[in-house]
This record gives sequence, structure tokens and C-alpha cells, in this order.
Amino acid sequence: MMNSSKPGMQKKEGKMRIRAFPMTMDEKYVENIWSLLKSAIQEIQKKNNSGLSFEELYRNAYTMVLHKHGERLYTGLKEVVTQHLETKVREDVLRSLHNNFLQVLNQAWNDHQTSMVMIRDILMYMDRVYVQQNNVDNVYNLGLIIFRDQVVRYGNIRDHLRETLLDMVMRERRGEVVDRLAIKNACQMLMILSIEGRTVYEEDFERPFLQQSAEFYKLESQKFLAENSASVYIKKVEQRINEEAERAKHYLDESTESRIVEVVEDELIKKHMRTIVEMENSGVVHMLKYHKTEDLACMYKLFSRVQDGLKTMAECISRYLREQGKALVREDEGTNAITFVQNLLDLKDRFDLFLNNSFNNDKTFKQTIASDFEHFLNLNNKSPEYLSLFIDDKLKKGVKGMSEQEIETVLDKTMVLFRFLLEKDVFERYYKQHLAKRLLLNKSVSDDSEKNMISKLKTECGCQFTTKLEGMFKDMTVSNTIMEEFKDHVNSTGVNLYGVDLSVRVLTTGFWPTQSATPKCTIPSAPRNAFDAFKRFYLAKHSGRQLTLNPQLGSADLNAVFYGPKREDGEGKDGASSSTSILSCQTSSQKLGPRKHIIQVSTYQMCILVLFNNRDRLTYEEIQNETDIPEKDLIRALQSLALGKATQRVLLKSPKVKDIEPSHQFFVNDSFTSKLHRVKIQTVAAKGESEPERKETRNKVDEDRKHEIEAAIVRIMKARKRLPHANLVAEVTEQLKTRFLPSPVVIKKRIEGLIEREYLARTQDDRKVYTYVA
Amino acid sequence: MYLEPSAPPLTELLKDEDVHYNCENGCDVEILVGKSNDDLMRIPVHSCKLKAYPVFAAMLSDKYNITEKECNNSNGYSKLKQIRVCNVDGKAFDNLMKFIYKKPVNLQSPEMAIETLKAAHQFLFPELVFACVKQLNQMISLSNVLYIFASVHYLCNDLKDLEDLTRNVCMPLPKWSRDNHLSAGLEVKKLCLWLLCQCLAFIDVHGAKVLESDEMEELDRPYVRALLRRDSLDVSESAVFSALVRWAETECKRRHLPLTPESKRLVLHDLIYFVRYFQMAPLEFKTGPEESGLLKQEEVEMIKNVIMRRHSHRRLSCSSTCCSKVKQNNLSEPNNNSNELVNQLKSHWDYFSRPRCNSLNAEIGNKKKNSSGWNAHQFKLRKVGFLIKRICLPCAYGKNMTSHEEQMIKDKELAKVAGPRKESTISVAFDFSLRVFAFFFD
Repeated sequence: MMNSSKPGMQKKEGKMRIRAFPMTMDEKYVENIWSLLKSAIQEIQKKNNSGLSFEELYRNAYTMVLHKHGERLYTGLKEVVTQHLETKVREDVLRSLHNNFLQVLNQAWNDHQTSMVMIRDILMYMDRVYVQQNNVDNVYNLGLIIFRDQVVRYGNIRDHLRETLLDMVMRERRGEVVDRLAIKNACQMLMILSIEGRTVYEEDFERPFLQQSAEFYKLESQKFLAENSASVYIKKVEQRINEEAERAKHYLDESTESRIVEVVEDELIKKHMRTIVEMENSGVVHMLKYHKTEDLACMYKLFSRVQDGLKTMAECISRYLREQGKALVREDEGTNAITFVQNLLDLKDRFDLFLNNSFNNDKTFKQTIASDFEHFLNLNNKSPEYLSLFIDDKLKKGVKGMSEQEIETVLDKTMVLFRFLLEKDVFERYYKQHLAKRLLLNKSVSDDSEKNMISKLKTECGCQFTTKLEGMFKDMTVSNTIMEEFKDHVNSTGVNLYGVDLSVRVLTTGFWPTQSATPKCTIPSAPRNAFDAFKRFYLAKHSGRQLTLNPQLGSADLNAVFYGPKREDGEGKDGASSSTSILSCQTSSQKLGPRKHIIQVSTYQMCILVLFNNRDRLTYEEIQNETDIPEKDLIRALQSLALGKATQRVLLKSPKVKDIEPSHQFFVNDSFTSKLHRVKIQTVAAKGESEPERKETRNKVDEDRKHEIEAAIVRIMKARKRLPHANLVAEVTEQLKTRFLPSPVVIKKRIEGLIEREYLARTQDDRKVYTYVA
Repeated sequence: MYLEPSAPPLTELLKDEDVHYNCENGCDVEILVGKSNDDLMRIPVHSCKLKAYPVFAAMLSDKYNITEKECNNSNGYSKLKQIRVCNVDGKAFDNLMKFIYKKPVNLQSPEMAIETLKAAHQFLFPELVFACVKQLNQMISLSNVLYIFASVHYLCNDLKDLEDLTRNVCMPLPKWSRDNHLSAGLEVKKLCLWLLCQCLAFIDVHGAKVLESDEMEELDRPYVRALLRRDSLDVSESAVFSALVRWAETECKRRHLPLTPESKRLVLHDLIYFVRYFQMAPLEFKTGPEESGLLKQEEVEMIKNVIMRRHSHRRLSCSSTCCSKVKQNNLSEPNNNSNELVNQLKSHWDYFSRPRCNSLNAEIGNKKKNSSGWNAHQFKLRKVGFLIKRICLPCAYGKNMTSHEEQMIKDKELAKVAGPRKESTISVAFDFSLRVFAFFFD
């Protein structure tokens, strides 16, 4: 029913309009359109396209598809293209197999692409609508597929193409000049023919190419190896890899680059890694030995390309390094702490140099070197002592004219070694001893350097490690203040010090490495009285404290007069002092005589020498009885007085043998001469400990460790309440790792000890699980 | 690789910022456009603008034959490409150019909108198609719905499974992605399809009036077919039949055939089977199809037989087994006369008994008196129909339907046929649809 308001004219137009959409199409008309399009496509393929009207072709294709003849158009197109490629293009290519093959193929390929672009344009409506709706290949891809199947992959064209390309690459490897552009075009064509992927390129060219390359380089590697020089080999390999990468970049597909390089790496490096690395007279060991930094760098670069390459290299380096390190730490007659550590530092420097210059600071190598050092440094159980001695040497006053800056760098390096040390607690013990000596005997270069070192240790091991060391420093400063106060006290009250210039250091027990039992020693009356005065002063200030004299690390200055070759004894008046632990004292007294000297000695030696004020000759036994000095210390003191350097022999001994027997006699060396006014008597055996001492230290360390392990166990159990055995051991080990490596057996013993003492208990149900007993 | 010869780089476009629509200055192409040679318009354009669109870029490429003429204009002596575009209305093409130059496009009348739509469709301009489709959707009225329907149907003609696609009248307006030339074809199609569905929905609702209209007689047979085939057309079967008779008479006149029942039957061809005879009341059938003489005597007998039975069953309210019984009874009968006509009729048996939207409503109305709760079912039933239609869409775009899916859709049809008569069947159908729903959308 029409709307009545519309005029009749409109009605008529409407009817006309509706009839303008014919639904059916004459078969003949369709045939005409198709033949028109077909001939147009053929013209395009013949490159006679200039006479075609795009609008007409597009309109006809549009009409055809709109009237449901899309399929006919599509299959028709397929047939026309196939036919053209089969009859014309393929024949052309086949004819040229042995004459300009690549050029003809490339020309055909270019023509095909051009024509397909045009065909796609005129059939655009079909391409956008019919193709999309029916999920078939679009026109351009259809062209590619037909070209691929009918031309490029047709029978012997495929084989010939592959052979030609491989042959050309081969010829170029041999140094001939080839037409790179032709290869490039062919590769590009294969890539495009793969359609969203690279299958065609891969199957028709890349795979055989890689295979051929692998074979080629297998032979090549044999040839290179025959020259038997690792550095030459490496350089050749590098050159080959660069060549292949360039080739891939320039005229193969880019994606091949990584693949071909991998093949070369595989054949030239991976398969011969070990051989190259271990090559005699040119392998890694050789390079390390002769500092061939560049060769090593080159090798590193190559080996880092392949899997396990660096590992192989690192293994070899590690073997060499361990060998070297083992030789350095071996204990023999002339082992000297200073050279021992210095050698290790030199070795480390050398390898750090390699690490920086050749191995690009690679993590693998860094770790390998570190673990190697750790390995052989701990082979020698004297390492902690040596290390401490080395530091002691550097921090001691007046050595070798090194600037503080230099000492600083040396110490920094030493810290690296320290890091590798497993038994850090042993080191701590020695360090404490050496530090105590430096502090008490005033041998330290400077407080700053000492403090610096301690802060280094602190950063390395935490403050727990250094609290005692810092306590030692504090004692020193506190002592200084007390001494000033004491001097003021003396001046104001006029206390009689018996002519002794007294200096006392009050040391806190526990901070300092003192023997548990303070050795007895009879101090001459003058210094003792002076000390007693101090003691009174000190205790008045700090009631409830106890001061014990510790003669071990004290020192004394003696004025001595020697009366020429004639026998006359020099005598000294002297003082000594002491405190809760150790003390040192300086005494001065006066004596006339032709040759005056000030003799610097230890407290023990002072005691011995003062005896000679009253007697001419004394036997060892007599000395021991009168002074009460422990045998070991006495022998050492006498040795340094009577058997030291000629310029330091204050006493003489009869008979003149090295050993000291109870009956041996001592007397003052009246003919003592020295260029110096002030003579310092060196104590014998200052360097390193003797074997029994070492054992003692070791025992003490073991004792300390027991406590530390127990403390750790209790700490952990307190926090965890309940823990199985294995976990507890693991946690204890983890906690103590920074100090030493406790063995599980020891830990087990400690646990048992704690159970006995009822800190821990085994659980009822599982004896392997412990609980904390509060 | 030179894969996309069409689109020039953007920079080249921006540089020509100063070329304007309808401006001879710098113009290097003139397009002669019109449906016939005596109705040509000359439109001056600038190739730099046109080249952004693939079809025009190809059209302007030097690879094809283009008339070049020399001319003298304000720029001085220059060459002008001349291109003849047939098949497109001049003003519509001008609209296309306006769009290219980003000028407002005039789509006031449906005629103009349709012509512009056709041009945009042919040259693959989804954005312009979108504008036209939206405009046309707003303009749909009784007076032009068949016109719009016919033209859009024409543009959708190459879609596969158009029938399935158009079953879903509730399809949302599709979105398209700008600047993707490759998918332009499908976008254009989707938009046209949407408009077609909108037309069909309109026709469904105003079925009776549309069938009465004059334009109905002007349609080509395929369009008539597309209209009458629909289950959701809201019209009585007698109205369908009388519209068919009117159409057949006009068609005979157009084809210069005598106005005899035989020639009418000839022009109707299979359209005669699109009337759902079984849904007619006996009297309706008698005054309509039977008296028109379009049906053969055997056909009339068979159909009448079924109608009578169904009628009596319905009155007895014994609806539960009605359908199947009728089928069985009647399937055996035509087997006796094994003539071709009857076989053909037999093949439409199911179709004849399938109710259209209106008759369904009538039946539901009847039921309502007997049992309450029908509204809910009715609602569910529609929902079912909707879901099934949505399922059809993906199949149309080339996905292979699995046998399972096919079976389900068949089952759904079955349920629908049997639906209004049996409560239990309806609920089954609904359950089924839920499962299908989960299958596709979860």
C-alpha cells in the first residue's frame, strides 16, 4: 500500500527504481564478461597492458562477483595464471638451465610479480570480498603459490636452482668473484614464495646450504688444526665467522646469519674446543704463561659464542691456576710469610689482569678464579697466620719506605685474599696478637692506618668480628688519659717514683690476647714501687678493680755504661709497670762511664740485666731463681741478650754454645760497642710462631670454636624452638660461614653437649628432631 | 616488495593540504561519470587525494590506458587525465568525492542515499557505507522499504548463506576498523547485511501492509522469495496467497503471457510453495487457493485433507500427538500416487505446517485461555529463536559446521515445529538452547 500523500509521479519512479536491480544474469552475459577479463589478464601477462581500461575491468569483475560468480572468476584466474606459467614461463626457464639461469629466472619472477599486482588490482573487489569470505588464498598469494609449484619447484628447476646457489657460495668461499646480486634476488624470491614464513627458502636453499657449509668447515677445521697453533686457529675461525656473517647479511636472507654462524661455530669451535684449549705450546696454558693477553681475549670472544665454550676455557685456566697456587702455598724450609702472601698477591694481580683485559670481566671466570684461590689458599693451614703477619709487616713502623697510599692499596689487595680465607677466626686470633704487639710496643705506622684496616675487616665480617679490636684501641686512649692524670697527681702530691719514668697501659681483660695465667715475674724494687704508686692511684679512682702486672709485652729503657774492653759492668736502673693485663715501662737512670748507651729491652730482659748490678756472673739457674721468669720466656730473653747480633750482645755466655743449660754462666759484655747511642735489643724469633706455640694457638681456636658453635646452636634453637638435625646443622654452618667452616661432626658433638646440659632435648617421637628447653 | 601499490605515503597527502573539493586549481584528473553516455557529469579531482584509496590508486596508475588531454587553466599548460566511470550515478559519485575531500555528504533522499551506498560499495569505502546505512535505516518507511530492501539485497547478493545470515534481525550495527584497506570488502558487506536485516525486521512487523503495496508487484522473483520464506513475517497466509496472485498477474503482463492459471503457475515457479497452506482455515483455503485454480486438483485434495484433520484435532484440543499423526497419515497417502508434482509437494510438507509469527501468536493466544504461564514460555521460545540465529552467523563466514551443530539446529527446528502444541517439548527445546549457548559463547 502506497502512502497516499506521495504523488503519483513518485510512485512511478519507485517502481522503476526497484526494477533496476536485476537478480539474475544472463549466462551469455557472464561468459562475455569472463572472456573480457580473461583476455585482459592474458594481455597483462604479455605486458600489453597499456590499452586496458581499469574502470571497465574493475566494474566487470565487481558485477561478476556480485552476481555470485566469484568462484568462477577465481578458478578462471587460477587456470589462466597456471597456464601462462606452465606454457610460457616454465619453458623459458627450462631452456635457460645452463645459460643465464638465474638471470632468466629472476626476470620471470619480476614479470610475474608485476603482472600479479596488476591482476590483483583489477580483481580487487573479488580479492577483498570473495576471497575473504571463502577463506581462500588472496590473488597475490595465489600467484605466488602457482609460481612456486609450477616454476621454482618444478622438477629439475628446483634442483638446478639449489645446485647453482650452493655452487656460487662455494666458489666465493674459495675466493672467486660471483654475481652476488643474482644470489640475493634468488634468496629474496624464495623468501617471498614462502608466504608468511620461510619454509620454501628453508627447504629449497637454507637447509642444504647449512649442510654443505657444515661439511666444508669440517674439512676446514682439520686443515686448521694441522697447523697446530691455537692462536692462528682462533684468528682463522674469527675471520671465517665474519665472512659468513657478512655473506648472510649481504646477499642471503638475514635470518640465515645466526644459523650459518652457528654452523661455523659448531664445526670450528665446539667440536674442537678441548683440543684448542689444551694445545701444547700454544693453548690456554701457553698463553697464560707468556701473557698473551690479546690471544686470550680473542679466544674468549670466540668461545663465548658457543655453549660450554667458556666453561671449557675456565676449566683449563682453573687447572693451571690451581697448579700455580699449590706450588706457592707449599710449606718448605724457607717459607716466609711476607713472600708467601706477596706471591699470592702477584698471582692474583696477574689473573686479574687477564680477567680485565682478556675476559671482559666475565662472571664465570671471576668465579672460577675466586674459587681456585679459595681452594689453594686454604690448603695451607698457616695461611691465616701468614696473612696477619703480612699485614703486620705493612703496618709496622718504619718499613720499606712505602707511602700510606701504597700501603693502603696493598692492604686492599690483601683483603681480597682474606675473603678467600675459610678460617677467619684463626686469622682474627693472630691479628689480635700482632695488633697488641704493635700497639703496646708502639710499632704502629699510624692509628689511621690501623683503624682503616679494622674498618676493612668490619665491612668484610661485620662488627662482631672487630669489637675486640676496637676495644683494644679504646684501652690505648683511655690509658693515655690516665697516665696524664697520674703525672699531674705525681707532680702535685710528690709521690716518690724512685726515679722511674713510669708509663702504664690499663688493658681490659678479654680484649687482649693474654695467656690466661699471668706468668710470674719478680720485678726489681724500683720499678715495682713506682708501679705500686700507680696502683694505689688507679684503685683510688676505680674502686673494685683489680690490676695485675703482665710483663710479657712491656718494655724498658736502661742507661748502661760499658768500661771498655776491661771488665766492668754496665748497670741500669729501671722501672716497670703493669696493669690488669700487660704493661710496658720505660725507665731511665744515670751511670757514669766511658761509653754510655741507652738499651731498649723487654720487661723480662730488664729484670735479668738489673741482676748484674749486684753480681758479676750468674748461672742460668740463678737467674731463673731470682727472677721467676717462665723458662720459655727466659730462654728467649737470654738468647736475644747473649746470642743476638754482635752489636746487640750486652751479655756474654760461657761456654759459647747456642743451647742454654742450667749451669751455663752469663756475664756483662764490657767490650760492648755500638755506633748508636740508643740500642734496641731485638727479640729472637719475632717472625712467626714456633711449632708448639702454633699448636697452642690451634687448641685455643678450637676451644673458641666450640663456644661459638654452641652459641650459634642456642641462638638458632631459641628462635626456632623445634628443628630437625639436618636443618640445624645447615643453619649453624650458614651462620658461622663468615668465621670458619664447622664440620658436621663437631656440631653434632656440641649438640650432644647441649643436650647433656639440658639446653636442648630430643623429641619423643623423632630422635632426630630437637626442641629448645627454655 | 611492492605489495601495496595503491596507498601513497601519508606525507605526500599532507603536502596537498591546499587542494579543495570542486577546485580546478591543481586538478589533474577529470572524471566523467554517469549511467549512460547522455547523462555524464564532469568532476574535477586531484590525484593526490584519490590515491589514498586502493581502487582509485590502481585506476590512476600509468599501467592502464588513460586518455590524457592537454589543457590551459590558471596554472598554465598542464596535462589532464580523463577517466570514464560507467555504472555509477553522477551525483552519487560526487558524494563519494565529497567524502574523499572530507566535505559533508548530502544523503537527504533515500534515492540519493541508495545511489551513494552503491558507489561506496563498489569502490569499497566502509566509512561512507556506514554513513549511508545509518541514514537509510532512519529513513525506512512503508513507502520505501521494498525499494531499500531490493537495493540492499542486491548488494548483499554475493554473500554466502544469505538466508541464514538474515534470519537474525536483531544483529547489532557492526563496527569496522578504519584504515584497514584489506578488510574493507568484508566491512562493507557486513554493513549492508545489517541494513538488509533492518529492512526485513521492518517488513516482518508490517507484513500485511507491505504485501498489499504496489511495489510488491515490482519485485524480482528472488526478492519475493526472500520475503515470503520468512517465518517471522507477520501476515496471514491468505494475504500471502493473494499477494502472490497479484505478483503473478503483473509478471505475466511483463512477460507478455496470457493471464491463465497455467501461465501464472509458470511464472510463480516454486513461489507457490511458500504459502503455508496447513496454517489456513478450511474456509480460507477454499476461497483462496482452491478457487484460484493455481493448484492442481491432486494438490488441493492432499492439502485440504491435512487442513481438515488438523482443524478437527485442534477443536478437540488433542494437540499432543497431532503433528506427528498428521504427518504420518499424510505421508502414506501421497505415496500412492507417485507423480512428480506430489513428490515436490511432499518435499514442502514440513514447510507448509510451519506457522508464521502471526499464526503462532494466535495459537498461543488460544492456549492462554486454557493454561496460565504461557507468556513465560512464549518469551523463552523467542529467546530460543534468537539464540539459534546467532549461532548461524559464524557458519556463514566459511566455518564448517560440525555434524553436532547441524544436528542441534535441526533439532531446534523440530522443537519449534512441535513447540506450540506440547509443553514438554518446549521445555526440552529451551534446555537445548541453553546448552548451545554455553557451547558457543562461554
